Amino acid sequence: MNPRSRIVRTALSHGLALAAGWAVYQGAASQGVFGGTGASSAAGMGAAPAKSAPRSPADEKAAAEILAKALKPAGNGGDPFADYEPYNDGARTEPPQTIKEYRDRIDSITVPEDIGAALVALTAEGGGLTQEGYADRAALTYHWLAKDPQGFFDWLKADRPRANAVGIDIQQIAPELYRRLGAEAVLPMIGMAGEMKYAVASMLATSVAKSGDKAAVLKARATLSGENWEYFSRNIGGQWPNDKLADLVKLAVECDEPLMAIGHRLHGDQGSYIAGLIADESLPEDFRQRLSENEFARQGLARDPKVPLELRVQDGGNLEGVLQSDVSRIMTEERDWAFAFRHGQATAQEVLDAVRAGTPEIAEKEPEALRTWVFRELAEENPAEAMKLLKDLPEAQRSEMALTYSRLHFNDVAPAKFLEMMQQVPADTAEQWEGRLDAWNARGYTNHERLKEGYVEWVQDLPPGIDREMGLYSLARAVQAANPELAVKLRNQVTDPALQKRITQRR
Amino acid sequence: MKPAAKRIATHAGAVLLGIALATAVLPAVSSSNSDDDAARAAARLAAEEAARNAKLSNSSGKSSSGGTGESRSAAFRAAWADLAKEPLNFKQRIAAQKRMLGEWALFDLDGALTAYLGEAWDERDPMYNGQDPLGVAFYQAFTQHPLESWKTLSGPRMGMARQLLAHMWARSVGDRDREMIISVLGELPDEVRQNALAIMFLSGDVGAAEKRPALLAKLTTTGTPQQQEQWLQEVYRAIPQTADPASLSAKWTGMPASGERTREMAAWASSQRRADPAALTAEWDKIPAADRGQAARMLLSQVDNESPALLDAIEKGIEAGEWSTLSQGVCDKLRGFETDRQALAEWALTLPEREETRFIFNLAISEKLIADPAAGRAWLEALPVGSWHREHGFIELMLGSVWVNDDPAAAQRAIDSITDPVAKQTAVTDFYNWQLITGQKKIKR
Repeated sequence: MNPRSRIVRTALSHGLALAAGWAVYQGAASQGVFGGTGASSAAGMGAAPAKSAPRSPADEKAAAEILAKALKPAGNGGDPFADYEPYNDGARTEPPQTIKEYRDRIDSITVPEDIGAALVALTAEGGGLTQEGYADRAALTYHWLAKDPQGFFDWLKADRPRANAVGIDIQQIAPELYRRLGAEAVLPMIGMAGEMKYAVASMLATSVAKSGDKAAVLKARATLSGENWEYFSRNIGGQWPNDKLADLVKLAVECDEPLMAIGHRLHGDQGSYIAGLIADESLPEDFRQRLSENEFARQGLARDPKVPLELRVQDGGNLEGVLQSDVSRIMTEERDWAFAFRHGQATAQEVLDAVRAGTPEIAEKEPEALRTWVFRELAEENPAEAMKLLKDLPEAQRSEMALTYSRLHFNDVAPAKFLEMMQQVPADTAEQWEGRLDAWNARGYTNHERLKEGYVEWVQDLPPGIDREMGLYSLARAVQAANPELAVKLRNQVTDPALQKRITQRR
Repeated sequence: MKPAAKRIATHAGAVLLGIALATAVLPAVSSSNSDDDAARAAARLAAEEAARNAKLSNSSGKSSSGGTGESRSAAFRAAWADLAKEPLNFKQRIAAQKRMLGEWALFDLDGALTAYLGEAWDERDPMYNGQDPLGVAFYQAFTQHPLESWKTLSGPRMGMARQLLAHMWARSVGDRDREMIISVLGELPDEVRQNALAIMFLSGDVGAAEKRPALLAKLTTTGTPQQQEQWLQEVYRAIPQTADPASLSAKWTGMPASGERTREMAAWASSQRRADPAALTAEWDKIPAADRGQAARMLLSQVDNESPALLDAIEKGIEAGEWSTLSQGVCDKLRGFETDRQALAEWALTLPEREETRFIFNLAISEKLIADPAAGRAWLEALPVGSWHREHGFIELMLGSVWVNDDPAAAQRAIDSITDPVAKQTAVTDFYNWQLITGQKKIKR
């Protein structure tokens, strides 16, 4: 297809896509229930916000107020993570504590003979528990666990809602169980906990780790095995106090458990920390070897930009891992570049420049791989604009790359974006036609899996053309096993002779 | 996939934090399922934010954004568009959009849904265990207006919004209003209905067993007989196995057709979950011929890969001619079914040659072929050339070669061994689908 006709076709198909989006929107707007008028929102459909109608000063003021409130909420300064401690909180050395109300209730409650019946009686009236009710439930759970842990877990396993209800109690009282009964008494509970073993192991491990209790970890190593030890040990490193790090590394060596040491830092400078361990000649050679081969360690090395690039790429996984980590970090940390690009606030070149500046060594040594990676990410936001990153490639290569990434990516992306992507690529050659069908066939599965009848609606509303034909054909393939009647209905709408032939061939 | 999505893998810690938060803030519905826990925590946090915002709105008096109808909706649309111009990072942007959507949805759900649908869906917030962080913004609106919001979601051309948000709706209404959930059970997408039933029957309550009969009784008076059968199958599969099959079957065989009879039959089928083949056959022999179709459907819904009489239940389904049931998911019960692989493969050769039994046949021979492909090939080659079992056996050999053994060359040899053109095309198409689904860089067509 010559360039001019492609531009015309692209304009037409974009118009049709927008019309389809408009139709969807109109359908939604007609269902108003809370007093909204459902008037058009160009930005709402992902189109350019600049097209919205002129605003009056009052409208501007109202919008500015709403925006200001959304940007400056009460309490946490806009960061939803601000109120929560990060996972690697080794800097906090205080062991967790059962809340005071529960500790007091553990001491004051009269323990009945049949604790199970007493627990059921707490909720017999229906409705939620009061604060006192929660304290009673936690205290009864504590006493049952202290007295007869096997009996308690047997009762729990008999009906899942019981475990769902008292899971919170076990979490709350785990520190008190550990504090009052000691590691010797609490570690065997992991083996009795059945489906709750991971929860119980991690709760007890948190108490043990934050206390820096080396003896308890060694006791666990000697008495736990299989999943019980795995669940317990994997929760030690992340909770271990920073000021006792040397003890943790020694324990990891003694327990022959590299993951325990690796887990100390899952965020931030994990790569540098692991690189330090691997280089530490005071540690046994085979332990260091296993560290360097551990998948989590390799991922950590790849993620950390402070680690020398050679180590990140060769020992820390591969180039893809490094690209993924760096591009992901740069495109989200300082600014949400994908969002800005989607809404026309940044060009593809500006985003690429920002990514290059954030990872200069990769930009210098692997410029094309970096460009491709950024294209891949941006194509899901605004396919037409993202294609500008490929403008210097020969047309055949450009089409191939666009089709390949349409097939391999665009998971969990609005189907309309995928359609926009398809519309950037001609279907002139047999190879392009096949590549386009491959992409539609792949998306048929993923989009139907996620959007079910919403995707069926969308495909059936597509405007006439090769993409509607391929959309129907690929969706019929995707639903064949679970809904053969729908598959027939979709296939009956296919008019393209080449696709009809494939249908008769059961392809 | 956007960069944020990739970060999930690096945030195992955040997942744990999500679980911890979930159990900390949502004791009443805490579950052993970590995804559910995190989603509930997310919903709770969103509700808290929305409530905070609503409080701020009220306390600041009537502002220009506090109008009604069109002017207020228009202001939100304008603010939503303006947000795109703010140089925010990912976390700040998600937080701001979530707050705006939450407040917007409370008075103009359509407008908020339109804005949501126009935004990228593949955002993944590690804080929320990879759940859609914008979807949680609707928690408050769904909670405050459950029926109205469901009507909006179930309206025409809202299929995508319904699919993306129905789980959030079910969680929002969930435990608070079981009557409401039951009243729309027939309209919910399959997986959302299953989730809603799980919330109703499995959410945390030490006294759940005592309250269950009343809840089950409500199910028996809602929906069509077919829907009741399906719902009861799903519930009985999730709750503890019932006991005393003899008294249970005596009960339902004496009852007239009704939802309650269906419930009793589901309870009886549940009692057979761990029955041995002889006990199951003894029970089966007592069932009147007219009831055997439904009884077989019930049995097939309750058995699993730990059922000693799994193969017997499949045989009862075949005997009763329940082909549709046999074709939908029964084959998956054979995954992990512990038995002698050779005996299972020999049993598979007795299966009738029908499309509906094809996947049961495939799964029954699958592990034998995967464990020793050369011996598996020899076993297949010994079957009569062109026979249904041989042809479909080679399709399974092809599937195991690529999906499990990572041996495309062996897959091709398996395809080459198929003589029936239709079966061969099925194998070629399955091989192509494997390439698509697993994201092979180069496609062999």
